[in-house]
Amino acid sequence: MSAPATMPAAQDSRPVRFGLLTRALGRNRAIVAGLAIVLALTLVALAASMITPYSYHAMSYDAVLAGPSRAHVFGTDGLGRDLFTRVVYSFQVSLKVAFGSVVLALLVGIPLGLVAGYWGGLLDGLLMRLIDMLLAFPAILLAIALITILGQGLTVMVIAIAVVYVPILARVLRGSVLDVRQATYVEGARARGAGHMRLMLRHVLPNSIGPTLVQATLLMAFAIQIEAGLSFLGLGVQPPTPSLGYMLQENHGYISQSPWGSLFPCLAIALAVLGFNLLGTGLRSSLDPRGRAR
Amino acid sequence: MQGTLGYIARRLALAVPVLLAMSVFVFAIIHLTPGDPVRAALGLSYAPTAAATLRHQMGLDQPIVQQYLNWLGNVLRGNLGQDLISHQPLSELLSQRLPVTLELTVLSMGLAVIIAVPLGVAAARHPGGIVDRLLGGITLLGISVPDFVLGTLLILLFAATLNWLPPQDFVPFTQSPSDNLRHLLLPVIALAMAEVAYISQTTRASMLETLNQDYITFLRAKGIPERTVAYKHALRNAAVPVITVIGVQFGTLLGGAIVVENVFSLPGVGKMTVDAVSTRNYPIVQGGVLVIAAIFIAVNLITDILYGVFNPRIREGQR
Repeated sequence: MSAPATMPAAQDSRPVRFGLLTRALGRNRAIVAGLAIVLALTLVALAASMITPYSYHAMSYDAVLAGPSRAHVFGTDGLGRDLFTRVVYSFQVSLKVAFGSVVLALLVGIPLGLVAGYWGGLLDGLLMRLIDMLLAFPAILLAIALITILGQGLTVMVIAIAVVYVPILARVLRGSVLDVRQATYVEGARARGAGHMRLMLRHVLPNSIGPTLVQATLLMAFAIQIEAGLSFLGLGVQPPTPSLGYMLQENHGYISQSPWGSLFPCLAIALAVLGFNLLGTGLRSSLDPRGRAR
Repeated sequence: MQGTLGYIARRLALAVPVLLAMSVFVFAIIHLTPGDPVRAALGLSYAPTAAATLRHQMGLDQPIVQQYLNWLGNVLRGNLGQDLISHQPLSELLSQRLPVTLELTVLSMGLAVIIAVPLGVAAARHPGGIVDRLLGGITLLGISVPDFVLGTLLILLFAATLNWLPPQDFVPFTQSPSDNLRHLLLPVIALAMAEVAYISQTTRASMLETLNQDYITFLRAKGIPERTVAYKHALRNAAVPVITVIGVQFGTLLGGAIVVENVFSLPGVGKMTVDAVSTRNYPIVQGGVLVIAAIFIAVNLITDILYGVFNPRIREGQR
């Protein structure tokens, strides 16, 4: 987390392209596969109570640390809770954090990036310095510091991750606004007497938002990693609410008795991250005018 | 040469406000957190008079700006405060913890570079070939499996199932170099994987661009062996983006180390900081955040400077 790592795409806007990844799958196939995974996970999370007969906090002392069986497809954890059920409900937390943090960051980052890129000058200079300062922290470290200040919980996690994302998204948008604002169609609209507000919202924004939305998709993948990482550290959502990272933490001590308790949450995290990454990289290469992926 | 020095001076000057802002934020960790640090420090021996004395001793009765300046002065003199529980000075704690984190991150980056650069070069020499396809798979794995998840999977396979390697704990290098490396092997692999993806993709892209240039065609026409062309001539010119990505990713690695240290119970700065959050040992959190952020800023600064030194166009553009 890799600001965390983790957290690769997030730290910097210097482009690192995964052309190869998308080339291997084919441009549209990457988007289709990514979208399929994301939609499937969303459906599973929404329909959690219909998919599984168990509740995520019901303990059963007859079946503690059990392997996969007909009754418990993924097995059970140290308290005899059904692992499949807990994984399914964990997706709710993952997706809430992923969508919540990115939407919040877009709501703040879009106006900032648009205004900075469009007006330039002192305002732009000040905003960019502010952004440099926020980017001076690894993402997970900033999140840990904010959680120390604000306390723990889902909302705090969403806010903490959004704080990390605002500068990243604002910077990407500012970059594309700088390219677009001199375009002839913007000049044309200005010559026809369009006001600044109209120019920004009707002409500049729609033509420059693409890369920002791609980045936002990739940041959702990263948010899932950060959420799982923070929950693994015990700084995420509070029990008994299940989270994939916290499940890993809970099973960490029993890892040799119960490999399933670690294996399934690991696969679930990887699947969720992969889904958003495929979608993001697929969208990016379809936006890339140089058609670098072929 | 003068241009280079001027560029370095400008980059250094730009880092000052960033460091100051970081210090304000770290200072705020104690002052914005709910709860009274005096009450926390006194614990069960809390009494109003003792509290007033301690408050005065800690300088907490002074105006906030004065408190910040006092704190900053102390930090600059290397006095980072002390552990609320063990009363050990933080500088002493850090001298034990920081080497662990640095060894972990530097070894991970080293391993990543050793794997990634040849892989990226090989993939660029034969686009679409076996190595190139293999690289696609590694990239997919590297960016989709977070380091602490990979760490858990490695423990599951090599420690819990096969019993080849110890699952956790740490042995100092000075005590037993071989045991030290055995304990660090899994965490280093866990951290390095994602970096392999980033560095090899950057190497590949940069090499592809370089290999298409005229002087490379000329070298080939002269009959210089293909390997020499790739490794001696092209790689040298393709190195700048690779160095940049290594610098940028080093920061990512530091963030990753925070979680990975906890997976493997390594006594580094990251584990120290996280443990301190749950015990509300705020001076430790402050110190941990400060040190990690300072290293992060320093590495980014060095990367920026190297980038400018290798790339005169950037240097001129900033003027």
